[in-house]
Amino acid sequence: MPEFLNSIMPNVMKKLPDLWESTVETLEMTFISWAFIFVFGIIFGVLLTVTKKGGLLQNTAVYQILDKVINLFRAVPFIILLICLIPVSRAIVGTSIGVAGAIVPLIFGTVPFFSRQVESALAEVDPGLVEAAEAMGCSRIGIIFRVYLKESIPALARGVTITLINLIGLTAMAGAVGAGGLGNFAYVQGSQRNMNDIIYSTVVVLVVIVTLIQIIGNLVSKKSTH
Amino acid sequence: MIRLENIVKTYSDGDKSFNAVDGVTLDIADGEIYGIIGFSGAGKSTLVRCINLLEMPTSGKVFVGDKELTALSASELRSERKKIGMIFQHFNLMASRTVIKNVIFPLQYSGLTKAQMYEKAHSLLKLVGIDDKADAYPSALSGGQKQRAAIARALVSDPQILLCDEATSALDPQTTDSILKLLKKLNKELGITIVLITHQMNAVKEICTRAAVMENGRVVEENDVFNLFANPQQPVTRAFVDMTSNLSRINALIEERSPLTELKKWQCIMRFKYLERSACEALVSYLSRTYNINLNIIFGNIEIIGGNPIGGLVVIADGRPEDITAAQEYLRSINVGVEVILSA
Ligand SMILES: Nc1ncnc2c1ncn2[C@@H]1O[C@H](COP(=O)(O)OP(=O)(O)OP(=O)(O)O)[C@@H](O)[C@H]1O
Ligand SMILES: [Mg+2]
Repeated sequence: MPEFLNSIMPNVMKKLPDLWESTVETLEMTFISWAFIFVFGIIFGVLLTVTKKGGLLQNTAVYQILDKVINLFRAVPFIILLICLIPVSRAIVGTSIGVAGAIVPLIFGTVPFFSRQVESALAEVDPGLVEAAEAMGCSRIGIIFRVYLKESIPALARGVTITLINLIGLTAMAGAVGAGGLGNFAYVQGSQRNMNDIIYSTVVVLVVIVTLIQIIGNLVSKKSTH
Repeated sequence: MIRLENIVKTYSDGDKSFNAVDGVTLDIADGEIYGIIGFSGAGKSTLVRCINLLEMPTSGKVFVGDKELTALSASELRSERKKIGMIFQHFNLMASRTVIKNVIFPLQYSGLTKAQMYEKAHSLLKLVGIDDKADAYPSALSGGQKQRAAIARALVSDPQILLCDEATSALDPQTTDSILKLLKKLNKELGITIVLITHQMNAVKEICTRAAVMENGRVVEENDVFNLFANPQQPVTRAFVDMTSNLSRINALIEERSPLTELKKWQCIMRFKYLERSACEALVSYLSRTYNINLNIIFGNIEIIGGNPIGGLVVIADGRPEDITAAQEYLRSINVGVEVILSA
């Protein structure tokens, strides 16, 4: 077996520890930024939902500002965001390179997308349920958590899955410009040295990660649908 | 129990504005089953949503019990709303929760322990007859069972009032009947005041004590149910009353020149209407014996509303003109409406 692997991907076999390290870095970037993206995305998604016209806490000013800012960030290509956010990243985490340096642009690049995912998941909640909860004397905070968020778990799970998969794509891009991880490994070790098997190996690892996330996401969504 | 004072609800869209509810004043007594009927768009839902202030009236006052709801703060209003249960046309159960979890939903922060909540929810599910479905998800229930679950949820905070907005409109006639019976039972056993919004006159007929008829945001007629049916004053009310009876079908038959309406000499078609709480016992046989006329019943519609027979007959009468006139006079004397629809 090892001989076989050595023969089809000699360069990868020599750099297995590096491949492993890059994978860990990619996962680190993904999940550290994810923690922030999840929190901000839920907050902004809920805000968009409740401040909308006819919403629980209708507030046109808040809605318009949030809506426009999200559109603005979604319109900027990630690669440009990476460059523009270098000073911000330095100010917040002290560096603009490596895993730590990638976190800030990943958050800015993904929160707007995830906020929209949350918004559309919450939009699926039947307004009748909100009305029923109001009629029962449920508070607004209660309605947000016990009706909007609780009732949209299946849709939220799908939104989380899509966002995570997107996010992993972005970590690879961030990696290519110096943030470490699988993208960096493929670019520096593979592409620049013409070692195609290294590039393919990172693709395989990414496919495995993405597939796992998709499977878990589908499972959660299915389990929570009644 | 509920008093609405000059409620107006205006919706404005740009520079156009429109009164969905236009100056409604109503008094609903404790323990009543009060119907509000009207065609689609009449403003019934808007009005009932003004009772628990899901919709804030543009002007007017809402009193429930001894409190003026329109004068309360948001948090006071929330605690008052717990005393007003509400059920809906589309049930509005939460799909992610089982029936029992739906029923205990309003009890959070009620101060009860988990065990007490479940005990209470189970006793209500028993009362509405679906305790065996406690652990099922709403998607596994039939429409009637869903509405029962929704009723249990609406009752779990011991409300004094139950608002029903088209609660039976999505159900088949049999299920509608069973839900109406359940509402009547709850009214009797719990003494709960019920406000029933509907466009099904039958629902009003089945269980209401009094009813209001709405048109264009106004209450155009209000009466106890017997009189509403016996003496409808407004065209809308008449339209609703006619919908529940087949007595007006004779007009269509005459228009179609149905063979049934081809009269021979000395025959005429008459409509009798029981106007008051007059019994209808042996009217037909009395007339034929006393006045020597033959009566052939072509339509009959007699129902018991509010404990009294109501309705009428459409007959072909066959007899000498003077006998028929005498019979008509007799009928009028005992307060039965007589209308000659067609004579030979
Ligand atoms: N939020 C709203 N904005 C604007 N117009 C509204 C709103 N809600 C209701 N209306 C209008 O108010 C009128 C009364 O509506 P409402 O829902 O009270 O009628 P309804 O009698 O309950 O009818 P249905 O039997 O169809 O339920 C309708 O013409 C409707 O279009
Ligand atoms: Mg309605």
